[in-house]
Amino acid sequence: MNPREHRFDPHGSRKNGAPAGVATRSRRNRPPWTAAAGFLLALALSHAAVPASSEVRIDAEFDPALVPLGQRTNYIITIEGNDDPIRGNPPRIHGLEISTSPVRSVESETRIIQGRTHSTHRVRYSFRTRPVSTGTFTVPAWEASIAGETVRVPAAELQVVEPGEELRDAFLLLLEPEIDTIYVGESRPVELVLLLRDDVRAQPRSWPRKSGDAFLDPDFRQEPSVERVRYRNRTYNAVRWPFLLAPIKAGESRISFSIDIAALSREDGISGRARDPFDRAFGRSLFRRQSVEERTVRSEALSIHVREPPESGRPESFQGAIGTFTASHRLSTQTSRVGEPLSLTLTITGSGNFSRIPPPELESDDHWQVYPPRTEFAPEDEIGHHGTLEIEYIIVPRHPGITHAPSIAFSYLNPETGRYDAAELEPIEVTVQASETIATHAATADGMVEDDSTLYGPQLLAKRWYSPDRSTGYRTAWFYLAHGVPILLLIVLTIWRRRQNRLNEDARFARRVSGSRAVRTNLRKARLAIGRSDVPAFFTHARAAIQHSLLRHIPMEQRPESLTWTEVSEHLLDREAAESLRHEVRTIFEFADALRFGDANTPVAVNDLPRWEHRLVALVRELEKTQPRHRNRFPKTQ
Amino acid sequence: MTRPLSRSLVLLAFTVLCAGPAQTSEPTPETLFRSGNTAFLEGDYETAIAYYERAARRETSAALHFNLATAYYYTGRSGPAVLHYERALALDPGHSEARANLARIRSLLALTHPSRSPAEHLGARLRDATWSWTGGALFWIGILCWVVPRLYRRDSGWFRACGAGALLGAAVCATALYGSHQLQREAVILQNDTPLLVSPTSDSPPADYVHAGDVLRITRHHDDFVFIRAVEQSGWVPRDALRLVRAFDEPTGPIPEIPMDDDSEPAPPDTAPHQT
Repeated sequence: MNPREHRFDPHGSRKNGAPAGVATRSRRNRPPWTAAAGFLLALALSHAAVPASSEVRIDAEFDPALVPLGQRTNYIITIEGNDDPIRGNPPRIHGLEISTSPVRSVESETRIIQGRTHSTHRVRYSFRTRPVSTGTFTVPAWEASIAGETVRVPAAELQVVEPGEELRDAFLLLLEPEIDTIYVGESRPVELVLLLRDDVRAQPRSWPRKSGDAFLDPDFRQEPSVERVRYRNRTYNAVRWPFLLAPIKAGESRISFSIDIAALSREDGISGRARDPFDRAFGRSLFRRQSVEERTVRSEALSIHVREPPESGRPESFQGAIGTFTASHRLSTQTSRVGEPLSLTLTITGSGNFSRIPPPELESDDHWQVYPPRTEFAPEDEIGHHGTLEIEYIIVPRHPGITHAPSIAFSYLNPETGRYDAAELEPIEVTVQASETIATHAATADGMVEDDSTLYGPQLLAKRWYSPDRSTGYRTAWFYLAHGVPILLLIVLTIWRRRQNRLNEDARFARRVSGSRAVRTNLRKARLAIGRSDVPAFFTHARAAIQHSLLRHIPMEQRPESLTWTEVSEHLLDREAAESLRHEVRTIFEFADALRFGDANTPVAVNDLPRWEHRLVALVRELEKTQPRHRNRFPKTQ
Repeated sequence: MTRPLSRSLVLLAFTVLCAGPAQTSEPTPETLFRSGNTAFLEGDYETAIAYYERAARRETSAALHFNLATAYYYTGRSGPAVLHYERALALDPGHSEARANLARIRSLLALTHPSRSPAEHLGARLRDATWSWTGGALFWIGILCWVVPRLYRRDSGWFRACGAGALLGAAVCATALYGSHQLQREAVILQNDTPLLVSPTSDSPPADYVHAGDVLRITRHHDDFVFIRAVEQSGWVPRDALRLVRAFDEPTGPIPEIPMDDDSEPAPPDTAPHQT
């Protein structure tokens, strides 16, 4: 099937704009109550009505015009302009059994055009027809009479096929126009056309699908257009999906399409055109047995030669644009300062593969800082083949004195000529002045930097080196260790000063401290006397140690050396000391007095001194135990 | 026979102990710095960068980062240039030349850097170590001014005033250290037109772009991505796309090869120190 051999002949788009082939809303399909209401309305307006035409128009047709053998059809005569009954019978045709008692129905239509009412009446005569053989049958034109006038009924044709062949060529899927060659990267606008024969009720149930990996998947998700066309001498409802055919691989490539449709089958031999109101309301008839049949319509596989863009004459700036374009560019302002952003916009208008045009490369250099561009496409058709593409670059001048904006190169391949064309884009003149910040800085730098492009440096001496370790200052262990030293010093100083202050302020504490020190001194001297075998010195220091030990806890303003045995004895009695303890203290006191005031005869042998020293230490400990332990027992001396 | 042998062994051991380490030791950072300066003055900035980067791995100084930044700028890499100027200022906040060069580059390239709080401004005026030790010393001076006179019963208003002043100074130092701690999150973008991703994944679409040399703040981490907040932008960027300003042990990139002859140590430049 070659669509070029059978050009479509669209005649008359649908008056009500409803999708054709899906649910055809013909006036003949109006329900009876609609016709009755229209008839009453026509009667009510009959006084002001103006006849649309005084001529009588007669049409004849088979509905459906193609039936399988065994299925009935209707031979329908429509008379417009005269309500009177028709006189006469259709001619007999061999192979067809046409009923002689037609069913008569009336349709009325009233239009108000520019304030004037136009009414139309149609009378339909439906003759039940049963074909008895296959073939093409033509009821020739014949003459009848209406209200005594002879009218001519035109010829009508009926095609009867074997059962199962009535849907041949009922659904077709075509790609229009046919494409022989195309470039890789090109976007060619085409249409996928689904043809649904007019006498068959069917509608698409899916989006079209593409087969063939050499092409991008088209975007069919848009509302298709619907129209009635003539194709191969038959009337079809054509559903059209425009899209861009975009190959991605070179070579001989095949592509085909398919789509799922739902076709309404007729099992009672009646035309599929619904005439009862329930058909519209519920999508099916309550009075006929109908079922929906899912079908997949496939197009023929097309072989397309996909070519690479030619190497010869390819400019360096070619980045894949294929089509016919015109390009221009503009700058937001032609006077600027260093650091101020400018907008450089490239505008590409025409038709071609806009979705596959990358922004022309524009890189930063010593003069301009270029940021990634922003693109915006404004299509002028629904598939984006025609339109305007704007590519906006943000550019920032780096130094004053720049005279031209960055140059943009844009070239494209014209698929009609097969040659490359380049857009002539001259660099835009611009004036760049120094920024205010730099001018101020240069003034405050005392003229040390005269050129804006130079910097201070280098420095040839490194004053101090650091470890690259980032743990410095408070992040080091030394920092916290160093803080431990003053803490310790502060603690020691506090303790020492508090002791000194107490010694100065607390006489009892001072006496106890000095007594302890004197006890230790006399015990040490007694021990030294043993080393010298000096018995008198031993007992003298032993008595002094006992006197200091006792006087540490006695609040008496008396020197320890003047403490007599009598006073010691009273004190020990007060403390309820043991008798043995008192006896030993007395012995030491007596020996000391005897050696001090008596002759040289010693009551104790030298060899016994170590034992006496041991007894002395134990005696001092016992005496310490008899002393009051409560610190505040005695009043604090001022 | 044994005496010459033992003498030879002792001589050999002495030679190994003395000469061995000398042959295997690498040039000191100071030597690498001077070699980089020589290359810099000859206009061979790539070689200078190689020397400086190698020196920076071992020890660092404000002058080293200053020269490294200038060399990077002259080779057209503004991201590392800004990074090392910032590091030079972190090591020596009074480095006026680094401050001037950084201001000039920012003005020329229209770079951005986040605003700083008063504490951060204060913390950036001195090094961390200076703030730390000064603050510690002032703290103990303040404590001693309050405690010691009381121990010696010689408390007076002068001591109290001195102690209060010292403690106030310590508080200022603590504030500066807090600001300096906040500045630890400052980072510099190295590559131009680094995409700001919507999510921390490699296939995330970019929400915006940041430019080489832009200073920004890292607010959180996720795997190999960090969430950064610039002046008017925020988003995720790969961790490798930026460097922390104060992470001196974090290199800018792989160590460049130094075209150095092993037999001859690079000669220090005989140019007099640059007076600025």
